[in-house]
Order: sequence, then C-alpha cells, then structure tokens
Amino acid sequence: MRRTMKLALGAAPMLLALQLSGCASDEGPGGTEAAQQAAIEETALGGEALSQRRTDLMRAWRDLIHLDETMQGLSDRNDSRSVVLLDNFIAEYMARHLEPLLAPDWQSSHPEVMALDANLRFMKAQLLANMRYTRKVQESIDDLEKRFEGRENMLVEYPVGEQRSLGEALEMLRDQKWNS
Amino acid sequence: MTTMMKGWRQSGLGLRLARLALGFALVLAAGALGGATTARSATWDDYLDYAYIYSSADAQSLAARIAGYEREVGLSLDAYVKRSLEDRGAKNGEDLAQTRRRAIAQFLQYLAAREPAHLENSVDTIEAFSDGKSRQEDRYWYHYIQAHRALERGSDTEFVKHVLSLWMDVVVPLESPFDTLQALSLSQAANSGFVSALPYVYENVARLILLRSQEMGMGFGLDSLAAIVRLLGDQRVGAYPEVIPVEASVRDYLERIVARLEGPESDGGSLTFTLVLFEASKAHDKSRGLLASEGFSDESVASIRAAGAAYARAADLAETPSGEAAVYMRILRQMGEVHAAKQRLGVDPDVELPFTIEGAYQVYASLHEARNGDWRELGFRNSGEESYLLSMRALWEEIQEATLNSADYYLARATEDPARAAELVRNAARLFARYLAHFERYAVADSTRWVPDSAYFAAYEAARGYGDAFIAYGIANPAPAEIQLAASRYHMALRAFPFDRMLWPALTTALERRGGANDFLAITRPIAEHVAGSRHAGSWIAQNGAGSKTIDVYRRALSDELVLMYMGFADAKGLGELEKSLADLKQQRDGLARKLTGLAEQRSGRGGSPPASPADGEMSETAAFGTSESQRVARELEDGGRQLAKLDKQITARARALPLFRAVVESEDLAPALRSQREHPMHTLLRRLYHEGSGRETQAADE
Repeated sequence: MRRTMKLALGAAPMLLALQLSGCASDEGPGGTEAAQQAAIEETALGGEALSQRRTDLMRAWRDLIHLDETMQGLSDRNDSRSVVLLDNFIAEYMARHLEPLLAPDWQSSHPEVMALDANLRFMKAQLLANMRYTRKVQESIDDLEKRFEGRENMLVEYPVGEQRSLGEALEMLRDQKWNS
Repeated sequence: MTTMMKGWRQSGLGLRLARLALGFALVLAAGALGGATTARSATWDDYLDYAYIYSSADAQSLAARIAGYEREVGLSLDAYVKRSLEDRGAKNGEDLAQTRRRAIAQFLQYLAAREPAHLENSVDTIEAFSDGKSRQEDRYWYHYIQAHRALERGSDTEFVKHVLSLWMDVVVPLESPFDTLQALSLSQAANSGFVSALPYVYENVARLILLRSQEMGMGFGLDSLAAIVRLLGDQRVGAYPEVIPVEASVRDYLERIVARLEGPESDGGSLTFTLVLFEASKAHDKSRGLLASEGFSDESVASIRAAGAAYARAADLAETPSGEAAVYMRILRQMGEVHAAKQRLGVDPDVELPFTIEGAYQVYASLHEARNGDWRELGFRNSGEESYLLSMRALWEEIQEATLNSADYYLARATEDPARAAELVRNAARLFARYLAHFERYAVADSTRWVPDSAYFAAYEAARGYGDAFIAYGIANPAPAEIQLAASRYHMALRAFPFDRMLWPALTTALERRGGANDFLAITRPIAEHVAGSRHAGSWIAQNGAGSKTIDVYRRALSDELVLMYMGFADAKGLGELEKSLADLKQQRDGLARKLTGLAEQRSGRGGSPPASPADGEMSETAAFGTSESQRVARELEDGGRQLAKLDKQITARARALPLFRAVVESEDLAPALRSQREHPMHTLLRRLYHEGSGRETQAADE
C-alpha cells in the first residue's frame, strides 16, 4: 500500500511534466496523447493517475452520449450533410482520443475503473451501431467478449440509464448491430 | 516565449490581467489595468498572449479596451502590426510566437472595427499554422480566426469544420492536462502555459457558436455543432467560477439553448432552428416592449414586422411538427398581442404578419394523427411523450387565445365602422366557427391528454361570440341560416358554460328571431337537468371547489322549471316587477278568498236578513236553494274555488322561484376569472360537466 502511494505521488508530477511538455511541443496533439498514454501505462495503478484516468473515462463516456444523441437527431432529420461532418468528427475523435484511452489492458481488470471501461466500450459500440458501422460494432463485441471473459455477471450501464449484466448487455448489443 | 513575457507571467501580472479581464463585459476600469502594469512597462506582446481572455467582447467594448492598451503601451495596434512586419523583413524571418501575435493583432483590429480587410490580413498571417502539427495555442487561433472568416463569408460548412477541428485539436488534448493542473492547484499558475486557457476556450467557443454566428446571420447549416453545444453544457462552460465568474459566463444562455434542443420546443435537435427561434423570440420581446411603451410607433411597427420575419425564417427551417408547433405558439401569441393592442389603442395600422391561424390548426392535426406512437417521428424522440402532449396542449391554448383576440378585434372594429360592420362581424364569426369546428373534432371525452381544460371555456366564448355576432351586434339582414346557426351556437355555449346568466335570454332572443321562442324550454331543459343533476357539480360543491357558491345557486335554480323560464324570458332589471307581481297575486288571492267566504256564508244562510233590494254587484246574503240565485252562488263558489287553487299554486311557485332567480342574478360572475386564468381549477369542472352524460344530452337535442 505504501509502495502504491509512493508510486502515485511520484507519478503525478511526472504526468504533469509530460502533459505540459506535450502541450508546448511541436509534435502536435497526437504526440501529446501518446506520451500521456505511455506514462499512464507505466504508473497507472494508483493515486492521482488512477483518479485522472477515472475522470477521463467518465468524460469520454458522457461525450459519447452527447455525440450519439446529436447523431440520432441528424439522422432522424435526414440531414446528410451534417451527418457527414459529425461522422468525420467522431471517427477522428475515436482514432485520436478514444482508442488510446481504451488501449490499456489493465483498466479492463482494475476494480476501480473496469466498470467505467466497460461502460465506455459499450457506449462506443452503441454509437457505432447507430452510425451503422456493423463491422466495427462486431469488432467491439469481440473485444468486449475477450476482455471480460468469465465476468459476464459484472454490472454495466447499457443502454444509458439501465443497469444489467455484461452478458445480457452483449446480447442486446448484438441485436442492436442489425436493428439500429 | 520572450524573457519579458516570462518575467511578466512570473511576476503574476499575467494572472492579474486574466482575473481583471474576466467576464467579457469588459466593465473593468482601464485604470486598474494601468496600475497593474506600471511596475513594468507593458508591451503588446503581453496583451496579445492573453487575447483569448478578452477577444469575445463586443466590438465597442473591445475597441475601448484596445485604445486603453495603446495608451499604456504607447503604440497603436496598427503600428505594432507594421513594426512587426518590418522586423520580419529586416531579420528575414521571425519567431512563430511573433507570427501568432501579429495574426491576433490583425484579428483584434477586425473584431474592434468589423473591417473584413483586417480579417483577411489575419487569415493570411495565421496560415503559417495550417499544417495541423502546431502547438495547441497556435491551432486555437488558427481555427478561431478561420471560423470568423467562414462567418464573414457566410460559409456554414467551413465554419462548422473549423469549430469541430478546434475542439479536436485544442480542447480534447488540453482537458486531461488541465484536470491534472487543477488537482495540483496549478491550473492558474503563472507558468502553466496555454493549458490554463481552457476555461476561456470553452467560453469563446460557446460564444462563437451561440452568439457570434447569429450576429453574423448564420441561420443555416449549424446542426452538427449541436454536439459541441451539448459537450460545452456538460460541466464545461461555467464550471470554473474561480476563473470566469458565473455571472460573466455565457452558461445561462447555453443551458437554455441545450434545454430547448432537448425539450418540447426542439425541431428534432436542430441547433440552427433553436438559435434562429431564440433570436426571433428576442426580437419578439423587443417589439412587445416597444408596443407597450410607444404603442404603434413607426419603430414598434418595424420591430413587429422584423419579429414576424424572424419567426418566418424559423418556420422555414422547421422540418418536424414539433418545430412548427414551437414557432406557431410564438407567432400566435404575437398575433394576439397585436390585435389586443389595436383594440385597446383604437388604432389600426397595417401590421401584416406572415402567418395565419389556419397553419397552426394544420400543425395540431399532424400532431394529433401521431398520438398512437408515431409522435416519436415528429421530433419528440429525445424529449419524450410528455413533451409531445405538452406541445399539443400549449399549441391549442395559443390557437384559442389568438382566435378569441382576433375575433374580438373584428367585433370591436365593427362597432366603430358601421359601413363595414357586416363584413367585420362575419370575419369574427368565421374565426369563432373555425375554433368550434376544431373543438368539436378533437375535444372528445378521452382527449384529456392533448386538449387543455381551458378549451371548454374558450368554446363557450367562441360559441357565444358567434351568436352575439349575428344577434347582439345587429348585422343588417342576417341570413336565416346565420340566425339558425347563432341559436345553435348559443345552445352549445350553454352546454360548455351554463353559469352565464345573460346567455339564457340571448338564446331566447335568437329563437325569437327565427320565430321559435316556444322552443326555449325544450332546448334548455336537458341542459338545466344536466346541471341540476350533475354528479361532478355536486362533488365539486361538497369539496368547496372554486366557484362553488355560484355553481350551487345555479344548480338549485335550474332544477326549477319556472326559474328556467325566468332565466330565458325575465330581465334582471324587472326582478322588482316580478316580486311586485307576486305581491299583487297575493292581494288578488286574499280578495278572492274573502269573496268566496261571503258567498259561502250567504249560501248557508248565516248572513242575517237580506236587504229589501240588494244593490247591483252585491250578492244576496241569503239564497233559497233551488232558485236561480242559489244556482248562481253555487257556480261562483265553484269557479272561485278553482281560481283560488290556481292562485295558490302560482303564489307557491313564484314564492319558491323568485328567490332562486334573485340568487342567480346576485351570484358572482365566474367568467372574468376563467377568461384571465388558463389554469383556473374550474376549467377542469367545465370539462367534466361537458362530457358527463353527453350522450343523453345529444339524444335529447336530436329528439
């Protein structure tokens, strides 16, 4: 425990230094997030870094809800021009921000963040399903099955506002893949 | 970063500037800033590095601020730009920070003067950061300046792309570092760099989308930015009161926009529609204020027309009945206000609004058709069924108010302009008739969820208005069909609101005009019996509901047929005469009783000796049975007895009915309160009364 705390206390300034140097570097945003990711991979199991990771996962989950809500509205209105603009934005958001955020294996099994991690993955899959990217939805389903194998009874929030077991949520997601 | 800049930030001057410049309203005294920088001479580089703090100010405030900085620095912004260009030429290049500052300086010149040439210069300069690999600070200014040029050019696609890119390139990568700085209480530290600007970035992006876009007339193509607006509203704008005080933030406005995006007044989540409708509402508020203070001045009329045109733009954008209903609710209110003001002020300026009530009826019909679940497709998917139902009821209320106000206006004009009275009264009648047709179609017994309670009193007003148009306003030569319709409208008005005493004689008048006054009782008795026997009314009185006293009076009165006749044929002013007639009747009865007593005594021989010759008109006090005299007395006794019984019956009836009628005459008039309060609890009773046993009533009327 003491070791974890020491690690955490040490991690925060290091992360900050990495983040700030990323902001000031000429490598662009992609480089910054990669640097953050590397730091988190090394030090993320406690303290400030873990707290920050929780915040990031939660924020990304809420952001996906808002993106999904907007995308549904645009689709309902058959506003294809706006759909294309937002679709591009979401694709870039996923590639540059969400995928790195979801990449680490540890957070899918860390007791303090694994539920957030699972919720975010389901939300991502839901958004992709609503955007009719069935292949990507299947990839997400495969990834969820693999990551959470043997933990199908774990509670997740899917759809938003409803709690159910991960196994049941996966079944619903499979249906959603074709029914959206 | 220059050495001077480092020194400035480390000395805390930058932070102080940031704090002093909070709020975009720019109410801060230039002197205070001057004081803050006297310890060391400020430079334009200092102010330009913090331009994200004050660049969202309105043009006038920004110009004043720049003038203040020019005095402090001792160099005009224009001269700064020229000098930096000269320096670059002399050195054959420059630091990228200097390039960014010049772009910002040119951009500030544009914002302060709204001169597009400055913006073009700024865009040319900021192009140095177009490669996508620049620092976040550079990317922020690149997209922010480009977004302004897109607005200036009217290019919605470019605008949306730059705002989305700003979010992706700047906001997303800054959020996590900002959280870390905050956790360590370093978010506003002097050397925290552009990360600490994040709250201002949120604020500026929000203002760019919500305010600047509308100021620049961008009333189309913004819908994908609804995502950014929702993100901004989720713990971002206004979430850092230690950096930007809430009262100086755009948070409240943002929250209202988000609520509208997701509420019953949304057009399927269209941000463009929401912003345009919001701007139209602001124009409406302004015109309403002018109308109240100046009447129909030229400025007021222009403002009303501008608001109407703004609503028309919103209506053009609306793609769902949800959005159409939101527009109609407002435009109907404006129509009602204009008509009410014309009537109140007694003037009739030409203020045509580009809408008709008929359009609102059609929107209501569309909403109604989707009641079995299809409402989700009408723009209510996110806001839900309750929003759908709320929208229907609200639209109905605006329709009824606009109808009644407009019709009243026509009737008022008819009295002032006899030459056009017939035409104007018929205009009013058409409006009333349209509402009544709408009412009869949709206000069925199980319509509680989509028809407001106040619809029933409005139906009374419309029905009575229709009858009055042809009966009370005295159109010359109304057609027999119009008189017939007027009578049936009065009948309907009585069904909807039987507690209007003057309505009963109005029906009698209408019936007389068509030669059918005798039908009064047959027509009104079912209504009277319905009210007298109403379970809902009884329960309402037992619970002492609003208006119970009057309702109880009517209930007891209408259970008496004689009172019903009084209601139809008696004038309240003649109540004294009626009461006097009762006294006369009693007097008449007493006289007859005395006469019959005398006759009876005469016949039984108890009257003493008869006079030698009875005077004319006097009866003989004794009569020998079998004589013609005796037979006459017997006949008179018989007739008199029957007459006495009849008089007794009349006296009993009138003695019972007149106090009831008097109570009705003296009861409180409930109509004004119901007219002015849509939420008055008695509206609910009227609805229940209308539908209670309606089958029985309809059958009786048919018979």
